[in-house]
Amino acid sequence: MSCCPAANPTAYETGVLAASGQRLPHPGGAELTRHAIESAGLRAGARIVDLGAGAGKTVELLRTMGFDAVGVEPRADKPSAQTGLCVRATAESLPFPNGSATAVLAECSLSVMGDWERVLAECARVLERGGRLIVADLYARNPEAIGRARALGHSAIAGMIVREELQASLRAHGFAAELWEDHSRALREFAARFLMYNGSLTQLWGCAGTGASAQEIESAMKATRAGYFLLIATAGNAHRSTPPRSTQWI
Amino acid sequence: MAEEAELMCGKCKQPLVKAQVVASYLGAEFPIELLRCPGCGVVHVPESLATGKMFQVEQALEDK
Amino acid sequence: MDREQVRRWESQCIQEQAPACASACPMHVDARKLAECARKGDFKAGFSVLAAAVPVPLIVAYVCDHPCQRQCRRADAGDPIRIHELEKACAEFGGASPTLRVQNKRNREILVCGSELSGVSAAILLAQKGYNVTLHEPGPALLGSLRGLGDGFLPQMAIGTDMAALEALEIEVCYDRELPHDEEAILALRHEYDALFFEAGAWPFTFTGDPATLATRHPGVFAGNAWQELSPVYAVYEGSVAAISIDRYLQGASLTANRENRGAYPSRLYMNTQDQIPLAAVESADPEQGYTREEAQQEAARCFPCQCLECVKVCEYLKEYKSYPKRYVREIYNNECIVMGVRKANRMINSCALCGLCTTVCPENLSMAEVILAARRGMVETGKMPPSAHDLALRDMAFSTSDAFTLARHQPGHASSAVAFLPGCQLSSSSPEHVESVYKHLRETTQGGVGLILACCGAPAQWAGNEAKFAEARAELTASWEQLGRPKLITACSSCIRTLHDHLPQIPVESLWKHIDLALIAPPTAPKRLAVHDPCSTREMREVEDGARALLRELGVEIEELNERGLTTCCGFGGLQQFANPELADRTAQRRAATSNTDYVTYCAMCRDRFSLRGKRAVHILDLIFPADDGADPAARLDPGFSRRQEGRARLKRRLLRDLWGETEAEMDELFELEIAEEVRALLEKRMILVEDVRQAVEHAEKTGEKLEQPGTGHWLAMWRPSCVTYWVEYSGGAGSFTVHNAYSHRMQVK
Repeated sequence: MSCCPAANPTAYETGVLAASGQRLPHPGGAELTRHAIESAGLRAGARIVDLGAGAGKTVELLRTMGFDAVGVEPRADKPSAQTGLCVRATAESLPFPNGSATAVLAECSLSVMGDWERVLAECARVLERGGRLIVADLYARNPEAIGRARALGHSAIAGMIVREELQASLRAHGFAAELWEDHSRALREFAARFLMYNGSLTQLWGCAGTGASAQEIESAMKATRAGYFLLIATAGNAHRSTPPRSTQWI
Repeated sequence: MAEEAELMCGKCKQPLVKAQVVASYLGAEFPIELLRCPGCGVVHVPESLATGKMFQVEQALEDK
Repeated sequence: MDREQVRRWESQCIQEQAPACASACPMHVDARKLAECARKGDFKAGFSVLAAAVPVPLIVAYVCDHPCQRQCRRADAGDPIRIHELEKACAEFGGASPTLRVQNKRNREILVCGSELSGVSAAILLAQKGYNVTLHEPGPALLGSLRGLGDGFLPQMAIGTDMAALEALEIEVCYDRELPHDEEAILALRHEYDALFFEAGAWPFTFTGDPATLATRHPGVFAGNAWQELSPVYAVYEGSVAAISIDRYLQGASLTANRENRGAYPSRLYMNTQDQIPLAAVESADPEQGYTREEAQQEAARCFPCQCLECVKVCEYLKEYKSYPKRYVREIYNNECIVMGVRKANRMINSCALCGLCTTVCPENLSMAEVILAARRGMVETGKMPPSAHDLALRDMAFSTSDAFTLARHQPGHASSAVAFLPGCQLSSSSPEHVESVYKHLRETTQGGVGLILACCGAPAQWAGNEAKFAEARAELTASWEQLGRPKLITACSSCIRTLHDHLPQIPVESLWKHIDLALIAPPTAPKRLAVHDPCSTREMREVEDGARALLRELGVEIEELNERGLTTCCGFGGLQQFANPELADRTAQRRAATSNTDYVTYCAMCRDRFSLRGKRAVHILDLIFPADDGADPAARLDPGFSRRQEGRARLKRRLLRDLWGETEAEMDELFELEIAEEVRALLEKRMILVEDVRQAVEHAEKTGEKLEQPGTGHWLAMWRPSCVTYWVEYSGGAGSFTVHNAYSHRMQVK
């Protein structure tokens, strides 16, 4: 699970999704984001960090909901819709002080990150004690077949989450008290919409260029019974002493 | 099958015209452009769409 | 949300009740917890369990006469746990002076006469409550009778350590004190002190204190009962009774209120010991020395431990939420959630299959179904029920209660009905051909006219907590019944018979299985051996279960029972579990499917289909009675899926109306011919479009004129959507004769 993201542009990055008319480019759209935030029970004005924020549309939405939101986006070629929404940084190295965030949101971003163990560690660091980690992403409802997905090149599919692994990792980083909801229907609708308006699932899952065929992708999705989940975890008190990097607003 | 552009409505005796319609299944809605009779509103779904994209989308929406 | 009802439900779940050992002990020492600590080798923690319960823990550890051991349920499977030996081990390896907690000092003086276990316990407990306690001992030392026991039985160290409490609590001990002989002397003492307690041995009179409170006729004077002081633990208990009585007396509170659970009582906790392997007690290598650490750990490991959880053992749903009914009830009604987020509680409430298995296995017959249904109804009423939970199921039910499916007719050629056949909506969905066969059979065997009612009994709405929709469905079914002249109903559906039995008792109903005359049908021999799966709806309806079995035996089936009668599990459809929580429903079905390798036979269409979905070979009893013409293996028949189920129902009604009552929309049914070339037939087959549907589409187009024209070829395009699928048929011709060129279909609806 460690291909360089830049080598294989995903559907988001080629702008295809933007053209498909989705309001927010991830399964469930704004509705799911709202539901996730509401389920997390955050106070007004809470500081939320959005990982893999892209053009910052979710950050905008969060701000209209009354939160102090900021996005984190590593790619220089993903222009932010306005300045001041996002900072240029990687999720493995967040430019925020210890315990400074009330919540961290990772919507459809863990699965495309190389090493999410380090990302979890960073989240544990920047979250205040009792802060919420909100993750929505692809997962294998049938984890026995995960090998088939991981054999595909770098993409959201190869990176799909295995629930037990994620939960073990969360525990190891001091997270507790999770909510777990299945939102596989949102994934189905998301994929269906892409199919209807754009192209093949191959493009959507960003395997274009790795040689994975539509059949292999479909087979992997079916075998793993790929679904979509929402998880909310509460941060314990594991604060590392890594100093924050400098902030570069974009 | 003949070209869709020449389709006529047997009831209203009018040609079908392009129109924005909504296709729906299992609660999900998809605005698309198809041919519709301006008189009675009947919408034509061409075979290529029905057995192609539509079918794929239906499959994707059902949770198997 | 009735508080009383909630409390009743909570009290029915006994999981939190004290185990036999703790309830048999008058001091309620939690021996189960102590054994758990000892098993882990944490003797310090084990000792503190003892110290929490009794004021002289070290002494009790050595001399207790352990009534707990006499009630230990391990005795059902081997030897009772040697709790006494375990306590000694905890004392030896983990004993320490307990931390003495003194409440706020109260300015009252209490005199305790006598310093055996009873007096000493009373003194310590009262001093802990903050009173100033004086202890009078007629002899030269405390606990005289225990000192003679010998160090091997009760180490001096134990006495010394426990008695250090007296000093720590500032209890004034006076030795060689003459005790009062008469009432006058007692009253004199009563003037000096605010309350008096006499051990039985120190009490000069033959009458004793009241057994429950130890009160004597003199206010503030309490005396023990001699018989209780024979037993060490009861002596300690008596001291504790005295301490409570005196405390209440001094605070002006009732001496008797709320004291029922003091002392030993029979445990309400149920422990199923049937499957436990009998184990003998661990014998210590050196009985003089008692258990070594290892021996104690081994002995402690023999503790089951006692718990009920009977329902959790048999139910995937209860297991999923990692708790037990008492907590579920509390959490549902306190609006707390097991995990964060309101939606998680909703999911939990909507995931129960309402199958009744928990009620059957619960020693107190607590019904989670009752709790859950009340919660669902509440949610629907207050608008909190998430629509997506049951939306699909309710839409499906709406279809079944619509004109597309409902029907109520007398037998063709009859103007009245002695009985009427109610097949139920699921059988009509999966096996409409069986409905036709059964109805034909009933017409052949029954006099007086056999009517037919196609309807939904409303069970899905009831399960969804939607009382309004449930009432509507019932009203419609009742209307159909009345329309036919109130005949007796014969139904093939277990959910229908259950719903009618519980909610429409005025409608006489019988199960179909008694009304099949196999001699008339003469079906071929059935498979040799099949395992019977009873649908959960008819769990308590023995006659239905028996009827099905009698029929199977007549068919020559060797019946394998999957479980004891009454212990069937749901297939995942009940309670709408498969809609609200498909993963859990899968596991429920999977668990049931894995119970036996034999092919299953059931008499519920939904159960059969759900097993088939899980890859388990299963037949419906009607598959054996009315085998398919093409000889296809009924156990391999796939679940039709949600859309096809609706089509099945719609098609059934149309076919019956046409074939039996001669009613169709198009009079030209006989008039037109349909020509379909072989290649086109093959295409239809491949696309899973029935010729039937093609015919209906053409009929519809011709009758209504709703068709499109392709000027290039001159062909017509018929478009027809009977229920969930839209059919497009390209055809040509006229005047009673048509040729089909092509056909395709889609499920999406387009407006």
